[in-house]
Amino acid sequence: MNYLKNTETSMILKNKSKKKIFLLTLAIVIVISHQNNFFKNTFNLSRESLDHRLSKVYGNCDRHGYGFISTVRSRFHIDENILILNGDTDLKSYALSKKSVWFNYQTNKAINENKLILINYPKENKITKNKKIDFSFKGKNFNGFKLIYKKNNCYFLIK
Amino acid sequence: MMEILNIYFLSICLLIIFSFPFTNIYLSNIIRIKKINIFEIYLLNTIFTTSILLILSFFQINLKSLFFFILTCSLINLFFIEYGKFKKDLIFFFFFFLFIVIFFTKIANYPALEWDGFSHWIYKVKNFYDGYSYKNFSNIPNHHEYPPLGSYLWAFVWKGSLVNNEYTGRVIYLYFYFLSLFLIISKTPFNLIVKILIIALLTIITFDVFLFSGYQEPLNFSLMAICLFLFIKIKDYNKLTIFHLFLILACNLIAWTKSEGVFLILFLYVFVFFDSEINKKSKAITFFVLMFIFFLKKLIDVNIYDSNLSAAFPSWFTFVTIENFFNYSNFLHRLSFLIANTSMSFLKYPIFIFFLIFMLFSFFNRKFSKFEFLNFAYFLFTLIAINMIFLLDSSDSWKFKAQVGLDRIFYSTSSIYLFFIIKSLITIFKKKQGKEGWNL
Repeated sequence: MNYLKNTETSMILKNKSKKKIFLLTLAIVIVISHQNNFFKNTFNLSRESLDHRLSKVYGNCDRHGYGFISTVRSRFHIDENILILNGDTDLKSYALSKKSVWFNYQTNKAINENKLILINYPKENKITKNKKIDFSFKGKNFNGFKLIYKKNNCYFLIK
Repeated sequence: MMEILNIYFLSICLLIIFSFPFTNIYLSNIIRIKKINIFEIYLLNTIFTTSILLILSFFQINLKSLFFFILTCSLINLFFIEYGKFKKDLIFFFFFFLFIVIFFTKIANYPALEWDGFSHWIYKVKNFYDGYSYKNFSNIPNHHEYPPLGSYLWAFVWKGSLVNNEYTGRVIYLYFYFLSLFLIISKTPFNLIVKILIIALLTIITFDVFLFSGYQEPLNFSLMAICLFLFIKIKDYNKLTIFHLFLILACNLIAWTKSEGVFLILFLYVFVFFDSEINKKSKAITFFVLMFIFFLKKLIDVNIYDSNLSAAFPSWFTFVTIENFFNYSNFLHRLSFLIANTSMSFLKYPIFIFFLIFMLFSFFNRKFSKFEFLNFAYFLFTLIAINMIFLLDSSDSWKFKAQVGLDRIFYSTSSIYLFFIIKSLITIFKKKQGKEGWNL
């Protein structure tokens, strides 16, 4: 009889400690998830589209200009590598200002230099529509381009 | 919603893919390895599958087909696992999955690529994503001499993703990172809750979201930890085991991750060279294996990539002249700059602070065993060698390179200290290592 009672007590104790461990583990999971913004991030993922988040990260018509590049590509059905130049003053050389090409880069396909996207182009150098323009960008000259689409200081030009 | 689903889908896919080809039944019955936990099996599978993927990166292969082919084989393989043996590890393994999901969600929410990611590595990833091989690196923009492993793995996972964006492929780095952490902790005598808390602590001191934004350092960090794990696993260097083979494969993976990988392997050699328990013959063999890896990589680079001999060495590096190096004022100027940047790197990655505190703790408690000595030797060796790279660089932009590169090289080497930190924790909590623990 005593033996049965003892085993019953030890079973209850075991179950209690199992419950404790389970609750403690659950608490740790919640703390770690909260610390790393897991719930907030999951909520953001369900609410904001990938395109919207990418625009937030890389900029729309600023920083890397993801939003503008994306709009131009879909609106004008561009499915090739085109020249993208970023006028950001931090990108000092001409080579560095071509960094935004990677967004839609297609391997082993030449860059069509007759189509050009300009991001962060200095505001004082205004480009007007329906007029052939020549301009210089970080030491390189561009001639005979026509403005197709514009948003703030971002431009889509075609030769 | 699709993206959330994709996070779980890819995390589960990775856990399934890397459960193949070795199962616990196969390892215990055919290779005769007993007492192996679930993370060690994952370690062997990860090294094996990654090595196969490295070889495949030299060929033009449809990555999507490859991804789903391996996934199918792995799914079939699930029927050959004896799950009863993993009863103890299952909850801890669930946390492994959970950590990957939590941090993958973090990356998905802010899917930014940082400088090296969008200026160099993404082109290599897209090269593989578009179905080209390593040979085609010479046709893509920027630093085409970089090794292919990290970008191939990135593209491989991206191809299997339900969402078409590069960030999905970066979950592979999270997988490697958490595998190395869980692997080390799985061999400690702590209970589940303490183990999870230690993992959380290690994540706080080693996880840098910036480096997971397209850099290869997290992969090197994880592979270095994996290599040391295997070094420790091989207690008897006179007896050849399967772990010797996997150590060579893991070292080889480091060499194919970044150009400086070969040097990282040499740093690891400190643990072999200064260990008095390892006989000279074994030291020599290990050294020749490392040299073989070095020359094999060079040979492949020269023959497959192009006939440029500098392909295997960082093309941006040229040595300073001897007169210039011994110029007193120049040397002092460089040294003071590098000391300041090294200190900043240590502050940036708290693992170094933890390491130094625990090292002092061992020193004052007179518990300076062989393992402590090896760690200290490794620390000094890496400290001097990494700084020497920038002391010997002849280019005018050495300062810029040190500012952007020094901390990342230190980070790659820092995973070795995880073992020391955990060993110190074991000592502090006066825990006895069981039979399945490491022999440090």
